[in-house]
Amino acid sequence: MAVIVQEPIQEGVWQLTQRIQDSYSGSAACGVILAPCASFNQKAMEQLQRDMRSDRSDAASDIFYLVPNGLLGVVLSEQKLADAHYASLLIKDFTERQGLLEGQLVVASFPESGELTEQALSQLVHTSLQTRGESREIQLFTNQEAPHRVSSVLIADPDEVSREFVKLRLEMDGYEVEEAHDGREALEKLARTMPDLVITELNLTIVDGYQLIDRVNRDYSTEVIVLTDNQLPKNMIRAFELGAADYVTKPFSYSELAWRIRKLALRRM
Amino acid sequence: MYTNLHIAVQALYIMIALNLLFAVLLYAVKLRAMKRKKQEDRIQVKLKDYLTYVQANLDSAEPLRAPPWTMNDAEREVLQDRLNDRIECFAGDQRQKLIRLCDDLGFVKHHLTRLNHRSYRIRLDAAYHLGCMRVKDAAPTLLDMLEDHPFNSALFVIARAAAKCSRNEQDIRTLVRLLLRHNRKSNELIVSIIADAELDTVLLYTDFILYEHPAYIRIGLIGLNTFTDPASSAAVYRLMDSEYADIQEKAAEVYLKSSRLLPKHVVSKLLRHSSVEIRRLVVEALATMKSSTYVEMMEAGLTDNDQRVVYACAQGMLRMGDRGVTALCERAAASQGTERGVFLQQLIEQELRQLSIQLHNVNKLTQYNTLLYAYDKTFHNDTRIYRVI
Repeated sequence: MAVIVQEPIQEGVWQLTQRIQDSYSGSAACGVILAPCASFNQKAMEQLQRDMRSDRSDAASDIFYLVPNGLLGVVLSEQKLADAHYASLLIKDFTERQGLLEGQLVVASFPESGELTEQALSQLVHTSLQTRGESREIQLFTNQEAPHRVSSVLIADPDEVSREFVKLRLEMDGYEVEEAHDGREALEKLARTMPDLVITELNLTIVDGYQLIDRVNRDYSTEVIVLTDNQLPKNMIRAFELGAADYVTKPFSYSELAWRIRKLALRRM
Repeated sequence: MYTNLHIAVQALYIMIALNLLFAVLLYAVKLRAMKRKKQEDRIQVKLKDYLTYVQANLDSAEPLRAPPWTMNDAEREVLQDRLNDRIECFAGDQRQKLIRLCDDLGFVKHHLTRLNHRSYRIRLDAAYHLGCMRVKDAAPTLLDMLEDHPFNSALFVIARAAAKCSRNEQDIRTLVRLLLRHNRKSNELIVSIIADAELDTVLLYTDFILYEHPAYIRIGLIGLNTFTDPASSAAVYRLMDSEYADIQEKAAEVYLKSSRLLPKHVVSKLLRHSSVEIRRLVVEALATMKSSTYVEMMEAGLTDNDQRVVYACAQGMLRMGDRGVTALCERAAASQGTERGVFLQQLIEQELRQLSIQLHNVNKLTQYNTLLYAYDKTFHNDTRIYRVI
């Protein structure tokens, strides 16, 4: 008699694939949420289903528990990333209240988070299992690829709001992102990670933005985009003279910044 | 018997009691601040994921939704602050989406009610928040608040809020009128406040420079200085003959920045202007253009009475390519033996030294070669020199 032993991760991926296949039509979006939980009984599942229905989440949701992996899974048919992300807030609130959550929730929506393949689902399950025991945050999964010529970015900005926002959005678009809150940290990370692009504020402490641009231009083949509060033409001229490739002023729109990065990537080809 | 000693002892007791009282008060304030900080940190952690949701979905077609849990007052306050920060940071549709979220969360209605509160402190706080959320309905009340407001820092908090909430150009005109009533020199600050209005302000500034009142003209000129609008150059031209020296300088600055091409007769006129600052600005503007057309004018500037203008001229000519550098060297050689000649030669030699340590940069290397060739040709014309092309 042959005994087939399947690895727990493969088993989890297989189960998840089955669930998604039931609700994914290919053209519509499909949201997936995975959360490491100690256990999740039928009663808790029904309660969560009721909570999600009461909160305008009227779209069909399939809630299940992947026993071998200890993962709570939710598949939301016809739900874009924004809706799936919102549903994850609700699930996190619920599982935390019940004392069941054991790590980060991982959220994705296909095709917004990339192409839906078995490899992507395997990566999703892996990511979710790796976060067990870590903080209880919500992580956005992405299987997108950044433009070939610009795939790693260093953001140097003392403003936390702007820095965090740009980092989050670039990561969602598939870039590898490092951040620095002053010029010295930026130079250290620049030497260590050799990014393809530096996005810098001019008003940096210790080493200012101009010095950083000059240094990048002299010692690296990295491009620089300035993202700054300084709106005066003289600042812009000086930045360009030192070798900046582009200049965006705050308040800014991410779409514009993303467009300029893509344009830069095309120029480097 | 009541002696001085008794009085001293009693005074001592009172002082000890007061000391204790103040120590308790201080401790209570400190504890309150710590409790508040702790609460804010806890709320910050709770809101972190929600704020990530907000930021990640600012470009999605669906509107942003309120947190899926009921918030208490402290949580609403922290969320409002965090959303304010983001509204200031982003532009366009993303900002509008955040403003709509604030409206959906009931923040707009809440602060509009607080704007009519008895307490001035609460009204001021409401004004700040309404300004952040660009609530147009608040503009009339905010302008009313400025009517009889004393001149202090709160005046500018309300003024900034009024500018952010302004519905049209007329609101900004009223705002400027109310701020100028105080007759204080805060023109730069007023322009920075106007910049927060979501309106096209070029026409407003162009209109201000036509006013008789010098304060309006100053605001107009400071405002126009942040734009490069060729249309404004004609309007500011006449202000270069104003009776106020600062207006003359500001007008020259705007004119030089706004004009893509400076007519030679205007440049000659400005180079003869009585203000050193204007002459220096003209020279710097010509240097920025880096056009060899103006080399002759720059040469004329080298004979200026003021050393600052001469210095600016020489620096400009060093950046005007072959013609500029050759003309500078020739002029320096022609005035050898004079104080001016020594000054110019020193400047050229100093530039050569500076460039010689930056030869890894191709542009600097080219500049160095050009300058060295012109210098040797002019000053050492008895030696054989080679030029590599």
